[in-house]
Amino acid sequence: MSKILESFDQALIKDDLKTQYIRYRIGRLKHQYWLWNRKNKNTAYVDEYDYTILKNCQPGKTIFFGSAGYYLKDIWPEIEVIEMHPIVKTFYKDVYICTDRRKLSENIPFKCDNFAVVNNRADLWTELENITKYCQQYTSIMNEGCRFFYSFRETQVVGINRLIVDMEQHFLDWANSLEKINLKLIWHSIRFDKKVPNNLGEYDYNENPDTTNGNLKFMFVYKGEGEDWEVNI
Amino acid sequence: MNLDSTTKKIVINKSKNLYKWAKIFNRLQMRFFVGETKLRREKQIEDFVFLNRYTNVKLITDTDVFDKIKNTNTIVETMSAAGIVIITDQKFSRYPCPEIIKKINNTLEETKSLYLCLNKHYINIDNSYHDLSLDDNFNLAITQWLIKSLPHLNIVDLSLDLVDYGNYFTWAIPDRHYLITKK
Repeated sequence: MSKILESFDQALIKDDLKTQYIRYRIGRLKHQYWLWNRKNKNTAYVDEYDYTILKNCQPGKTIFFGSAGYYLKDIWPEIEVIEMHPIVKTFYKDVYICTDRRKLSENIPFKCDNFAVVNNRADLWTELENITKYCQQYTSIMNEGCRFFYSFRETQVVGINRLIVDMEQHFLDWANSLEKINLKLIWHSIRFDKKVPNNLGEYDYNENPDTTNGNLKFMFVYKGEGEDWEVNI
Repeated sequence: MNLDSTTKKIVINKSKNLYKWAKIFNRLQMRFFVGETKLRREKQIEDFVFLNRYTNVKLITDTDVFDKIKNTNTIVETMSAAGIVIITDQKFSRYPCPEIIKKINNTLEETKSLYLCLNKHYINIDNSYHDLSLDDNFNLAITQWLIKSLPHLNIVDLSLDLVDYGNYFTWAIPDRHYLITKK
């Protein structure tokens, strides 16, 4: 007789490494790049948006947080990588593990000048207010003037009545509201591409653009110098 | 960052969908658990079909669910041959709102009953439809929108009023369940 489940917390989850790895893997799509690149000595594949982030980094320390940034570190070793899931340490040694964002400044022995979070699944499935808290926690290891690259998918943000709220405005307002935690919005791309029928009258049923990096992309600067850089897209 | 510091040839990949487990997602998730498990939502629909003695069932799914129904002789290939059409395919929820309504109408022109599962996280996918007269409760607002848009049909909401924090297996079987029939 099968146990009937309404939600994930109603049954024991296996604690073996294989299960933990698969759970990590299906929620971290960018890990695919590491799998592609690790066996290729001469060529490295880089996601277009990750490359855009790198083009916009200023001199100094660069951190990729919860974003499978280890695939980039294999190409540019000066990148620092922080992951939240301890399983990462089993296949990639040169990474910091920080399971609690509130302890970032305790766990990470430096501050950074560029900080990227690209569709980090652990940041999602919560209300925007909590994402604001996460962003504030990230600032604990940012130098003044740090460039902050933050992107996610709107479908995994909780607490929005999609039939009442103009989501494009809602997320832009949210990004602008981060000035209260000293993050000034410099650039954004919010994509809810309008669906139009083709010549047969049929609509596409795809998700909003860029399920890998998120359809909501923002670039901020953390207080002080460095404001209003000319974003290179 | 000095992007020229690497000796490797860099190939920039257009950002693309890297998700590749959609067709086996239910089985994949169930394997995470100790012991045999089954989704409550899947059992709800299977039991609904059995207890109401539906014999001609058209399934429109996008992942590996409903083995129990598939293993009976109740499956039909066309909507017109169906006593009930069951849609759990997430793609249905990703049409713009007016197109969802149109497709429900089209389905009910061909069959008597529709058991429709909508993924609320996709509703109004392109942010093109807003109705400020709907309730603040999003679950209720979806039901109100359907009833308002389809006044000539019977619509019964069979869902739970839950806030989904990503732990309800919604990408195996969506969360909003509606029985829609002709009046």
